[in-house]
Amino acid sequence: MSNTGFIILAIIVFLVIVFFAMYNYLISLKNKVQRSKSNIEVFLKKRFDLIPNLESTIKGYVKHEKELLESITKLRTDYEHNKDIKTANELNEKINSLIAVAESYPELKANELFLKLQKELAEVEDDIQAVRRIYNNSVNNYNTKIQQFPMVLLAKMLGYKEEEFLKFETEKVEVKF
Amino acid sequence: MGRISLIAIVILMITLFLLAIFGKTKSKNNIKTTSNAEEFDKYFDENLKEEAKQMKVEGVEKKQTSPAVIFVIIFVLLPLTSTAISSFVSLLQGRYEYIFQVIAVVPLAAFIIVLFKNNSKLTAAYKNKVIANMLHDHFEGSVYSPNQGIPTSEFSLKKYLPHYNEYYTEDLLILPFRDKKITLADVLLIDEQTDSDGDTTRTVVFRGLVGYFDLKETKLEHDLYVGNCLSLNKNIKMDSEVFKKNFNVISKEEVQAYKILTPANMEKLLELKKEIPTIALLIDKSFTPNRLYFCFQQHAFFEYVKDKEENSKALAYTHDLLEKIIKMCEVIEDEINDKLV
Repeated sequence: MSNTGFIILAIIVFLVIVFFAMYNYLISLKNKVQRSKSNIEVFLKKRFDLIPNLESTIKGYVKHEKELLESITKLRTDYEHNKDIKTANELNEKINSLIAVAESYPELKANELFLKLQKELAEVEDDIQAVRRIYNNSVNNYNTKIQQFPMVLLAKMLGYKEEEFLKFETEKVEVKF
Repeated sequence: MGRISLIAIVILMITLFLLAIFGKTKSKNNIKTTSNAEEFDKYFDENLKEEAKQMKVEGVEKKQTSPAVIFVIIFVLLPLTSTAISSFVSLLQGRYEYIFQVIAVVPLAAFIIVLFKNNSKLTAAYKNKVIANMLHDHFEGSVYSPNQGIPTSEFSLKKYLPHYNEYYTEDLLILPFRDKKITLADVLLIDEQTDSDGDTTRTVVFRGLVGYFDLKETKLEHDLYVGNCLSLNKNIKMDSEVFKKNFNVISKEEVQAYKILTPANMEKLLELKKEIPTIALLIDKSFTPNRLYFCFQQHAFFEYVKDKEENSKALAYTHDLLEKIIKMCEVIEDEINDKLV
């Protein structure tokens, strides 16, 4: 093979290596986004799984909040079917509202089971806040990379599109006793 | 035989002289520093408060015996004494003469050794009296041990710092500070490397204060390090560009790191870094109870020039720094207590 042939071969090999490196990097970014999204769902499920215990603990005390309790049950069922983020946000808000309502019931505040549940819910809420930030950060990194040259060429070739950021709902309600 | 003993004595004298001058190669005052310490020195000179700028914090003036004195002792006094004794014992016959020549060297050699040992005793005596009293003024209730430090087994930050092979620590200070019991010490880390040509380079990896205090029992799953380092451990990318540029975050648990490093806490850490550029924190779960370590690079904490007023200013400045650091540590501690207890 002539010198020119070797040079062309070397360039082709180099380009192939670069292509694979970029491809692998893009895949790792996309997987990180997927993983973060999955983590959010895991923690949301963990929080929502506490709802039955919460309902049974406070049912006897908050008789006048029947509508709130029913909407929570309905939303939970909807979320289990469609895993929609909007439904999850709405359900989270309702849980926080329910906990806030419990403030006005002194007997409930003294209930050990309720306090334990409240602590668990708060812990999971902290986890959810953290994984949401992680998700948005990974989306930001991913979107930035697929918009930058030369990754933009590869992304268009593979049909990779930008991911959407999570919009946070209102801040979690802080329950003070 | 007389010629042989003379040669032996001359060799002994030269050896003693060389040992006296070059024997303390591992003293930290003889370190050839590289950019780590030089950059910090530059920061120290540019950014200290006005009164601190006037301080000369280059290490205590130890009473060193000058080479000239050593020369006189070994090459003048020693032979004179030896000759005098030899002359005296030349009255003795045969081998006794040579034995006494050698014995004459021993007291002088012992005198030289004791002279050097007294240098370090003087420094410890100075610290125990002068520095300890000043520390009591600035750090009420503190317990100061100049010859003790943080044992290497408790120096958890080693996992997150560049490679080193020499560890020095001294000036242990245990003090009650803002309702906590803080343990502080001077630490010096050196990396000595010898290349294929036989040239040895000694790099100061870290020189400054290391401290820690106990946390309540936590649900921490992994350690969390926030600082600057060249470690190859997993690096967590936080969601603040400014924070990413200024701090490395290392932990095996990303969610835990994000829980503790909230946007508000990241802002506070960035503010602290403006005052103390080399600050690093470590939440260490390997101890029971868990510990929060902090460290920052600084000139030797307890060794200043022998001017009481300047020493006092330096200690006051260090007290302020510690106040800010502990305040930040408390913010982190509160976050942990809120979310991980």
